[in-house]
Amino acid sequence: MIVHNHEVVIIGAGMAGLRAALEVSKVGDVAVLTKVYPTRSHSGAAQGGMAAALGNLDGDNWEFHMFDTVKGSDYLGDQDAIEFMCRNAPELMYEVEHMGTPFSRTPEGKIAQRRFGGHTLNFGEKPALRACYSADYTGHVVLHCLYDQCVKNSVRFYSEFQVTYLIVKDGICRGIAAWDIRNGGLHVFNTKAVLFATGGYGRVYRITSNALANTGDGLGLALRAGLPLEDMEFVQFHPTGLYRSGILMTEGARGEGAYLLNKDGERFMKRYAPTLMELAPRDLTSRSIQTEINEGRGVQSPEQQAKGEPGDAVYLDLRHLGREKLKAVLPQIFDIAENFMGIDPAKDPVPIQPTSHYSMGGIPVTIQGRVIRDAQSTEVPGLYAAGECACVSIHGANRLGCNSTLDATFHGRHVGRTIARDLPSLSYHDLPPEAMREAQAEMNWYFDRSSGTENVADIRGELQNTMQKNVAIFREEKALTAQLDIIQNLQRRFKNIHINDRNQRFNTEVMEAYELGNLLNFVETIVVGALEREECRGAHWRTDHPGRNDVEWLKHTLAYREDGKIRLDYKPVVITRFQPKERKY
Amino acid sequence: MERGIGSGGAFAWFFQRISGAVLVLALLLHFWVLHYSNQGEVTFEIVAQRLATPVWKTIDLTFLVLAVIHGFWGFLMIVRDYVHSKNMRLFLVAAVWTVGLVIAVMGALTIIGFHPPLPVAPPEQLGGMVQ
Amino acid sequence: MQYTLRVYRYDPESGQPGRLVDYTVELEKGATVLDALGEIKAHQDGSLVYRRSCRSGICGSCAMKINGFNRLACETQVESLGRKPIHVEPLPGFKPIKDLVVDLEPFWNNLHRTLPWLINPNPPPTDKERPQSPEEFAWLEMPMTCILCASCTSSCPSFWADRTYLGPAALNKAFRYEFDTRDQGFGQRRDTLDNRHGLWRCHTIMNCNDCCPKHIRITEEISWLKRKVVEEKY
Repeated sequence: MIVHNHEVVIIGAGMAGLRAALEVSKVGDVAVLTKVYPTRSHSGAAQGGMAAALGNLDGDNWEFHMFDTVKGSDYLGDQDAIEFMCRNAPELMYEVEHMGTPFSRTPEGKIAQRRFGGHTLNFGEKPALRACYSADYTGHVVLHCLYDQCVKNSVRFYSEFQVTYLIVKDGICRGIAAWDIRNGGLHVFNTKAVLFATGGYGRVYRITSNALANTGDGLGLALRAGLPLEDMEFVQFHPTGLYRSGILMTEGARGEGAYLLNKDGERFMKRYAPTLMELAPRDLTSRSIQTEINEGRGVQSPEQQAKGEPGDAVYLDLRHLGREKLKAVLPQIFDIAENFMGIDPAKDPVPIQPTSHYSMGGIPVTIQGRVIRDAQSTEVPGLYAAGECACVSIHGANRLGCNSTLDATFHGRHVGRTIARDLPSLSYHDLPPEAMREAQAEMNWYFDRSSGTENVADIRGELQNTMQKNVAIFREEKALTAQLDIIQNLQRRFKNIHINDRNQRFNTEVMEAYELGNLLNFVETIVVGALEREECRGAHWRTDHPGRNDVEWLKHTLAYREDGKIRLDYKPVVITRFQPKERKY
Repeated sequence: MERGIGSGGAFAWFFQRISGAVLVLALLLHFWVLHYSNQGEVTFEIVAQRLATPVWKTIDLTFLVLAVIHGFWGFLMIVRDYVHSKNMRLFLVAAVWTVGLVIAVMGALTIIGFHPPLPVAPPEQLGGMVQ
Repeated sequence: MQYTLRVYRYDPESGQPGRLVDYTVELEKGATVLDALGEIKAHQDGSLVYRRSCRSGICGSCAMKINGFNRLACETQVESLGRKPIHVEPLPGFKPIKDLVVDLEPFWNNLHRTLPWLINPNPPPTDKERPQSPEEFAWLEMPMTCILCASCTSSCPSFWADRTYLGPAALNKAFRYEFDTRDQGFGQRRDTLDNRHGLWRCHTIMNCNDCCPKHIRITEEISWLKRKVVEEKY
């Protein structure tokens, strides 16, 4: 076991991790651990844009942005945090531009902005041009720019390291253990501060826009260390995932004017969101699509047509935008439709279906990014979180498009500043030997599974299929209860998994099993949270409990794992400027 | 790490572009002179007279030098890209240099050393010597 | 449909040289090479190793040599491949680590040598962006889409011969900053570019253009850089 000392260890090299690293590297010794190379992080898959009320093309201002975010969150977002982010978003956007990120431009040479779902002018009057974009490669260019800046600042990277253990003792974070994927072997990092920027967990579902690496590693570790997870029942389904694979087709397509059509060629959104139409927020749009499908107006694939089965897709129609515009402002969408579906989007509509996309919940943190351990906001010294894995909570019950790239970059920077400020008062703590033994024993267990009989991929497949069926867009008690049993059964089966490869070096069979073990560890928090929350709010829609219930449920869920069971606690929502109202678009 | 002519390669690259362009012009000139410049029969006489003029010697010498450098520099690049065995590469680089130098020297001697037979005889006296 | 993949297997710990092993898999219509590898790993041989992440052509992890051509496994539909069995091998030009995984350290090092960040000594304007026209941005649209998958550098014969040659990916990055109107880093990057292991090692073989999954015309960009250096010098 190799022991390293770094003042600050950041886990994850997406937008949040890299932006924080940039900030911390100015004052201290920082190391970034990432299980893929930094530029492979899934922030790069963000396409449409990054929200900031620059008002380059209309009279936008940050208060409209704040209102939209609050309303989009179905009033579950903490308004102090939302105000802090939206107010400072323009300044952050200019900083990102000054660092060298290329942006599409207006004729006057300003950053170009496009429409996005749920972003409006004048508190809901009409769509706002708020999403700053770089064709449809926005996340990609921002991620690469931040990486470039980290290279410039000689940030130390440990690439292809899988974090496996979070060392918290006596309420203090002391470091982490990580597996060196490339060479094999467990490394222990003794730290003053650990920042989790480990991203989301879309891989809980079968149809997802997320990377194969998005297995919510940080969440599993936090839960195992006795910390709670917040608002886990809120999982965003992006309305337009490519049919079957779930690959993202940016909301920017609809921002540029694309239509959603059912099998009769009807723009069905007029029945669900008459004002904003296709630019309604994601929860509403996904539900509308799913309703069309459930009511038999879905588009059939050729196989479904042959078998006479109902269709489970709708069309994203880009044809009227014209080939030239598509190639200019949505080049990636064009390529994806061609490469993965064999469809020319200028000639034919693209079949899409809702795809699991973003986790609104995560590790509870304060506005400053410090991880908290209970409803009284007791902080865990030395532990921080930012980005999708954290829950500030900005996005509440439903995130608006383009707010995640903003959230990750903004809170990445802010938590970096918090750590820089905290560093002088933080110190190294002894690593408890029993924790190190446990971390090593866990890895040894994975390397000693040749006598097991259960197939890892089958367990993973069953988890994803059942979650997709029982805990997706529409939820009800019976399915959720059944899903809890299924998960407990899968957890039992997991104890008997088989792993063939015993090599230490580049053993991705062990890594995939580890990721699955992690998923199985925290996935119950989604189901239990959804089961208990008997109302409809944002992305959480209980068909057996219609309507939002502010009297009982205007509160954040905190889920703990105690004695093998999930225990829930609740935390109040911060409401400042905007009182909860009925949500209509 | 292998060595090449010049410190960086900027000059060599630039030279290849310029020499390439000049060679294209020279080739066009060559074609025109040989095939279209005189309407009548091409005789030894006419060719010999042309080759004897200093202007033409200069043109031909430039043509030769540029072609040899341009062509053999290209060979060296191919060797440097595709031959990975050290010995083989050494051998081929030496071979390219040798052949290039030999061709250049032989060509130069031919061009510079060419004198038409004196005195210039009228074509009919040369009889069947030139067909 | 059933397909046979002939996959390169190499385990450094075994002491044996790499070899090609045939696997037959049942795949749905529209399945990609990455899906096929996933199926092999899930149900036939869990020890098969390859890099992957986004499976949507944006992260750049899964570049490999498929039927003799560098491409992304996640974007390549099995049906579209003519030659059967389908040959799947690691990227050439880099040291193999295990199976389809290669050592990309030289690739990253070369990239970092080009000083891949915006260099501009003048402070930016406060509370607004540095101006840039749509026409000026158009120069960046192609190079900025590079996903650093290493397909290009791995296909370049000049790189095979000279591992200190920057390679097409690093030069694309240099182009991305050099032709950004907001950048003034030419003075600092020039020595790395105007170098026998820099721009001048490119002999316009154009393999990079052919295999780039983002259709970046890298050779053309390198020519622009060469022109910039020559114009500066002569």
